[in-house]
Amino acid sequence: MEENIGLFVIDLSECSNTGEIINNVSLALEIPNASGRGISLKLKDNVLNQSQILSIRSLIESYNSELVNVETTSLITQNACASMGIRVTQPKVLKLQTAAEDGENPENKEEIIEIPAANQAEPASKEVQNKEAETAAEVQKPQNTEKPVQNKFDELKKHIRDGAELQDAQELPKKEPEPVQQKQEETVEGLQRQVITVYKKASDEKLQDEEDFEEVDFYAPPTSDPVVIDNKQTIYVNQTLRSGQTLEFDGNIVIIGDCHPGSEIKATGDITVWGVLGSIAHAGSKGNRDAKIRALKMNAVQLRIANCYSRRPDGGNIPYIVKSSIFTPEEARIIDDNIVLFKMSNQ
Amino acid sequence: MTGSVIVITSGKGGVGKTTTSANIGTALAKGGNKVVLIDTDIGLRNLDLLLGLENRIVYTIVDVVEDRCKLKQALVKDKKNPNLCLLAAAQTRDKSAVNADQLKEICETLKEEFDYILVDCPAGIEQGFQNAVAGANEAIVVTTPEMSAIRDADRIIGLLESKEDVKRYRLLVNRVRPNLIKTNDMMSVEDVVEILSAELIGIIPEDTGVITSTNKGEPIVNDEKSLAGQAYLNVARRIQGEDVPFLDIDQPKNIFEKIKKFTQKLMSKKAKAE
Repeated sequence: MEENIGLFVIDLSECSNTGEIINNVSLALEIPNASGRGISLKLKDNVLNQSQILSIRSLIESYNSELVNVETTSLITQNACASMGIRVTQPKVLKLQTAAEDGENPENKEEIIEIPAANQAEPASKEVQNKEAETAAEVQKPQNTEKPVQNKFDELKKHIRDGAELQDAQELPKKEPEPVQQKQEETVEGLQRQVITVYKKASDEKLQDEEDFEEVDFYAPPTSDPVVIDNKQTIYVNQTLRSGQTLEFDGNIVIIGDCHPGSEIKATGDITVWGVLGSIAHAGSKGNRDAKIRALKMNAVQLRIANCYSRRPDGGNIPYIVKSSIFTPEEARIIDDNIVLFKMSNQ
Repeated sequence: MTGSVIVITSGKGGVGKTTTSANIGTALAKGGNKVVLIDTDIGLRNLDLLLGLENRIVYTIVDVVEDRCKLKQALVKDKKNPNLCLLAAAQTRDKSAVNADQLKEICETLKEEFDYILVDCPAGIEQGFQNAVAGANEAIVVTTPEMSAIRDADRIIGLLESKEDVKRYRLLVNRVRPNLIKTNDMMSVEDVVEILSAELIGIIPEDTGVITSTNKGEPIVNDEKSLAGQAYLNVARRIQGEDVPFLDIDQPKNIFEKIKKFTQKLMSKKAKAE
C-alpha cells in the first residue's frame, strides 16, 4: 500500500500535531526505498503554514527525496503548498467540488495531466450516488484527483462560495474510505503513463511546426563578442573553514560555507565566500591589486588585498549581528590604496 | 633596564590564566609600567580576544621565530594604554612551532625594554608549558578552590621548583565564592594555601562581570566598581612590591546583609574595646 510506482506515499492522516507529522515523516524516510524518490504526503485536516511545510520539505530533501504531492483538506495548507509550487491533491471525498469546477472551466481540463478515465469510473460513480445534488453532466466529466497549482485560487473561491456544499462533502468520508486508498495506487501508475504520452505529443508538435529548423552546434564558439575569461585556476571548497585552518592557493578561491574567526584564506586571485566571512582574507597575495574579496556577510577580522590592509572596527564582532539572517553581500576592492566595501545588491 | 619575566600558569585549563594575564597586564600598565604580554598558547590563542586586539594582529610569535618579521613589528599596542603590548600566538600552527630556547631569547630581548613581561602559559605540562616557563624568573600559579585544580597546581609547583631560573612562585586563588565557603560547600582560601603550602599573591572573587568583560574585549580592571577588578589591581600592586592587605571579598549583597554585617562589626569592636 505504501509503495506506489512513481511516488512514495506517507500516510499522516492519524497525526494530530505538527511535531507528530515531522516525526512520522522522518521515520518513514528511514525506509531505504524512500530516499531519492518523489514523496506524497497524505494529510487529513491538519493546518500547516508555509514555514512548516518548508521545514518538512527540507527534511525530505535531506534524504535526497522530493516533496511532490500533498493531499489535504485544509484550505490553509492547500494555499501554502500552492504558493510553494507543490502539487496539491484533495482527498477523494471533496472531489465533487473540483469536478464541478471543471465543468465550469472546460479549458482547465486540458492542461491538467490526469488519471486515465478508466481508473475513475468506479469511484466517480460512487460519489455521485452519495451526492445526489450533482447533475448528471458532472458525473460524466473525468474526476480530477491531481490539481495543478494555477487552479488553486479558483478552487478556493469556489469553496468559499459553496461553503454549504463543502460541509456536506466533508461528512462523506465515513462511507468510502477504502475505494479512496485503492484508487491512490492506481492513480499514480496511470498518471505516469499519461505524463509520458503528453510530453511526446508536445515534442512531436514542435518538430512539425519548425520543419526548416536548422541544427545548431551548441559547442561551437559563440559568434558574438567573446566573454572575458579569467584564466586563473579556481578551487571550489565546499566546507566550513574553522579556527586554525588555512587555505592557500595560487588562483581564485570559492568557498561554499562560512569562514570562522581564526582561519586564514590566502589567494593570488579573488576570494569569494558564499557564507559568512569572519576570518582573515588575503586576496591578490602576490601583488594583484585588482583582486576582490566578496562574501554574503562580511565580518572579516582583517581584509588584505595585495599590499593593502584594513581591519574590522573595534567592537564590530557582535555575535547577534553575525547570527541574524539579514544578508547583505559585499565586495571589497582597492580604491586609492584603501580597501573599500561595496554592497553588491546596489550594483 | 632589566624587567622581570613572570609566567602565569596553572596546569588545569579553565581556571582563569588568560583572564589573569590580561588583567594583571592591564593593571601593571595602568600603574605606569611598560608591560608586554606574550601569548604562548599557539593554536588556541585567546589573549587577543580578552584585550579586544583580535583585529590588529598581523604578525605573531611564530613569524618572529621564523624570521618573517622583526620582534618590534609583532608587538600589538593596546587600544587604550600605550604602555601595554601584546605578542600574539599564531592560531594556525601548534605548540611545536616554537621551542624553549627561542622563547627564552625573545624574553631576554624584551627584558631590555619592558618592566614586566607576562607570559600566558597554555594548559598542560607538555611542550607549551616548557616553552612558557623557559624564560621566566617568576611564576604565578592560578588555581580555583577545587580539588582537581589544586592537584594540578601542586604538580605545576613541583615542576616549577625544579626549574633553576624560576626564583619565586606565588599562588593566586581565582573564582572564590564566599557564600559557598560560609556553608562549607567550597574550600576556603586558607585551606588551599595550606594544602599547597605556597605564598599567596591574591584572592579573586567570582564575578559575573568577568564574563561580560571577556566578551567585550575589555579587561575587568578597567571597571572600577567591580570587586574582581579591585582584586586584580591589588595583585598588580603586590607584584610591584607593595604590601597590600587582602580584599574583603565577602561583600554584602542586599540591605539586610549590609545591616547585619555593620552590626557584627560594631559588636566585635566593642568586644575588643572591653
